[in-house]
Amino acid sequence: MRRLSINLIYAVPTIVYLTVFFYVPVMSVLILSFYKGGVFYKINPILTLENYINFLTSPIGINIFITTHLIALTSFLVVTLIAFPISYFLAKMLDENKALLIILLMFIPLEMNYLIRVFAWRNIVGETGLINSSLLSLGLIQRPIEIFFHSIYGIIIVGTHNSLPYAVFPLYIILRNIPKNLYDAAMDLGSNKIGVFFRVTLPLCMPAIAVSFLFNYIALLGEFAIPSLVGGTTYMLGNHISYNFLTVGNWPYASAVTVTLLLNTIAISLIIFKLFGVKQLYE
Amino acid sequence: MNKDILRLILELYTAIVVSFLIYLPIVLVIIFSFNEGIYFTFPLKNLTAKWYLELFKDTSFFQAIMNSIYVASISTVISILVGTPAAFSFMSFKNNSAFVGFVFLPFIVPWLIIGVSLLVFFSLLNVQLSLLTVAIGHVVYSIPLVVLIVSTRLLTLNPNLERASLVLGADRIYTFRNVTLPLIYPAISVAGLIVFLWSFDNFIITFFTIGTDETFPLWMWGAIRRPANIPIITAASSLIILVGFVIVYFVESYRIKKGLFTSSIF
Repeated sequence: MRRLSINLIYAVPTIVYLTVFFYVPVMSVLILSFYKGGVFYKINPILTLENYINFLTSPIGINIFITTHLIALTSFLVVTLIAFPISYFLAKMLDENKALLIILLMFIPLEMNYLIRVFAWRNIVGETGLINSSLLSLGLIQRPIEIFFHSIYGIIIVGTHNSLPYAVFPLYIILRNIPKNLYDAAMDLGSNKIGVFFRVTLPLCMPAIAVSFLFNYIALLGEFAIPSLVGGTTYMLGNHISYNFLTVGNWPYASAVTVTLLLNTIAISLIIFKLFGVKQLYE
Repeated sequence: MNKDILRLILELYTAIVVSFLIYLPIVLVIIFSFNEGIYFTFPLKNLTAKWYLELFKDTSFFQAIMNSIYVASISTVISILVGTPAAFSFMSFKNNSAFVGFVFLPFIVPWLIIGVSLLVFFSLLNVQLSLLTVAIGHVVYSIPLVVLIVSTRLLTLNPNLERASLVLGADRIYTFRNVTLPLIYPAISVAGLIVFLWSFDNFIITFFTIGTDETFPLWMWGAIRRPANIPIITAASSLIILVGFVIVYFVESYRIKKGLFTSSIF
């Protein structure tokens, strides 16, 4: 016991720092969310649930909430479907050095240049973007293709681009570590290839899929730069929060939306961690 | 035979996805930085270096780069100093969900939440927003990052090395400095480099915690909406992409060489 408390001493700077600059600020947002607000930074210290009710019962609030989740979910499904064959190829058909090199190549552009990549996509997709204008001038299409507009589709394309390596890498680690005997055993016991996939491979891959879910889904829940640059008129939770903090100046209302997003994030992460035991990945 | 065809298909598929989905946008930015026209449309007009010349005249760009380097340096130093010791505690508390939750919650929540909470916090305390408040915000996210990278390394260390040193008569401080530290030094330096790159690049936390100065992402954000600025942003982006590619390549190769890549996805 004494040994444990000595070990906790090393964490004191971290605990103090995170308390002062994360937990206390989050608490102040929480308290603010129960105050009565108004435009232009008016804050009345009268306790009320008004902000939550305004957000969660108004058609606009519900619409934003659902749109955001739908975009995040679609992007997650798209990225998982694209990633799986790549991870399978890297894990089962390449030697480790080559596979790591390809994964490295996938990660390099993502560790820097966040806005640069969104900027690039902004010029590539869009009604008059590179894809549509090239296809038009080549005469391959008569009018711009809607899937490449600045719209929900644009957000999904950029979301996929951003999180692909984070989906490929955990899947690769798990697929590489599945012993071949496991497949042989399943086949011997009478399963066919499809059966092996759904009853052996997929269940073992769930922790990896959970990790990519966290990265992709939760990152998109709080995103506002991607929707405002490639989303056209799409308005996500992140836009709603930043608009109400910085433009409208209704801080209590914006705080209530932020707290809703925070609780939403924590709930999702807890479910994912409990269901899929993400820990296995690191041990 | 069948297997060879599958392999070929998957090989092609991987090549297409990596080149088109991941690299094409970046390569296009570099190509169009030499294009005389403003918009991203083929065919290219004339090849020109004039956007780079215009960029070099723009002092706000260099100021933004310097500000980004300043913020990233402060964030790196603070998060290494604060986070590294916590990685040692993490070894004893890694099964304690309260401790793990406390340290890693800032890592999991969307960056926006860190940003707006600090905005509210600083304004309640009447703290003037500046580059320093930006760095304070970045450290909130990078402490868990450092703990994660360093503790992954600690997990793979052979505890007998430390025991041997203690048995042979060294005290704890000597053992730490001469046995433990050299063993985890690669992990600390990788963590530092990753924090630096991340902080240099971060937009969302910066957006809410910055005062009147600009970091590089904020400079881009300010310029991005005016079509007339597209070529200069394209030129600036190309420079950052090329420099960034070289730096990240060396950082990550070092990480793979030291066996720090496979054990952690961050």
